[in-house]
Amino acid sequence: MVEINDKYIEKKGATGSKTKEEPAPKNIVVANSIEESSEGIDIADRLKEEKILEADIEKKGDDLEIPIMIQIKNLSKWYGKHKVLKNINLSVKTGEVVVVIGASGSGKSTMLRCINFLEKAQKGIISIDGKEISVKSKKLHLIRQEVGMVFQHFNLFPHRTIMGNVIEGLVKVKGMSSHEAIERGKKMLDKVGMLEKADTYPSMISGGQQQRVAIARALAMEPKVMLFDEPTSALDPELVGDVLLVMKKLAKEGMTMIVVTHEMGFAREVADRVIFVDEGEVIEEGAPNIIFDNAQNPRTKEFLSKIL
Amino acid sequence: MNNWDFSVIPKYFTSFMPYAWMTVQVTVFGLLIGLVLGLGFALLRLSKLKILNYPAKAYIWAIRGTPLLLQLLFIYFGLVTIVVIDKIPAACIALGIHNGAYIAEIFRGSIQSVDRGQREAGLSLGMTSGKIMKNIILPQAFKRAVPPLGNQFIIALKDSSLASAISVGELLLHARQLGSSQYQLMEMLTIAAIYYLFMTTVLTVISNLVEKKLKVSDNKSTI
Repeated sequence: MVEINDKYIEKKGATGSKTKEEPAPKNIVVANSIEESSEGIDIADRLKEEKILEADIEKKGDDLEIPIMIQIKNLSKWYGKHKVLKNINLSVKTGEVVVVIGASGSGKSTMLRCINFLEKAQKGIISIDGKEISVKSKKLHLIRQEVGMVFQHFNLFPHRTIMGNVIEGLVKVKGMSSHEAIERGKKMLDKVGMLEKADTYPSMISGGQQQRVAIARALAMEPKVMLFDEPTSALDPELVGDVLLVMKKLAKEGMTMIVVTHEMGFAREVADRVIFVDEGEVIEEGAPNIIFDNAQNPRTKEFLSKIL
Repeated sequence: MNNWDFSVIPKYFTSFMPYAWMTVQVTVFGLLIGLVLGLGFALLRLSKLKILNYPAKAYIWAIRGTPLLLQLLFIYFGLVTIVVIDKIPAACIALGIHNGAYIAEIFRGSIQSVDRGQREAGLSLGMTSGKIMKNIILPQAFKRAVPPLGNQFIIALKDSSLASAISVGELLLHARQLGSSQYQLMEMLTIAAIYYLFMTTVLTVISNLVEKKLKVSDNKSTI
């Protein structure tokens, strides 16, 4: 197993660069996080992680890089005269977990919402899985099927049961038969530990449970990438853990994730890369240990000193 | 002065039945027209396309700003040079157009009261705006519209009495005609009042039942 791990790093190193100081550290970041995580995560998890990597390598062939899932170039957005996003550049690889941190009002949620076009940026290019997508496209609803989103306030459909919520998209968007949809719905609800509550209504379960259902609802669509917009911010503290656990599980399964959050513990443990956004700009990015322990930019340092 | 004889009420009571039935018919058809118009104009009013907002705004402005009696006379007598409409359909149409304006505002309010996040959740699942409206927004909006709609239905039922002005054979017309021919207007009006009260009570009870039934899924909000 270790051999595979090394092999993987080597391969990534061959296509990218080996030293942390190089300007294009993305490949290294993936490798770094594997090394880092080996301390924090127990052996079983690590084995699982390596299995996924192994599968990944086999699938991708020898000289192929991990493909980029999300590519954002020069994204700018204004609300009236106020510029909320300033030339954002970001690329997220398949299977990568990127955590976006920053003060409220910094534009991090807006950035996330631009990725599935809930907000429309006036300038810049967004590509998802290699396809460049125009803001003016009439087929944004097709794009959104591939991008799952989890909201701060869950936004479950109150007039549908838990199962009804999970199968809504499958039946109404994918045109699946309700029988088939329920089968998949059961799997998804089981995954987030909510199968027992399938027949109740959202108003009858706790916030943390609602958020897990919301995750199952998004996953049911089999998205290529999952966006989390402060998924635990509206929860009572004792309910946060269960939601984060589900997200960790997802990350381990290799889901590509972009997570806007204030949960720094989660960022440190799960993120492959942490991005600090301030006043609509990406100020600093890097592996979690680098950002949290050795931030270079004074604004990053200031922000972290306030919250850590 | 006081020569009322309420003992005649049982005698004439059943003779009101067919007229009460006419009141019900005019009200039901009027409301059906009103609901269709109301939903249509509410959606136009809420459309992102400004051009579609204006006809809806104009309709609501004109209809709410003029009396129903005038609208009734307008359609039955006024339009006669262009199109002749029978008195009963004319009453239904007038009641429908009149209530449509109020119902449009009821629907607009209840649609707007549905949380933005619901639309966003639908969008993020890949639904089109039309599908979101049909499957997510309207079911929730209808639920919220039930109490004000119940209220509007009661108003419509009572307003149907204005159809007597174009001699539609409904409750009030019958009460007045019978009252003047028998010199017992007070007694006949009382009978009409009993019918109206009975029908509005039924509407209230139905509205409450529907409201209660729809509440199953949201007995409390946890956010």
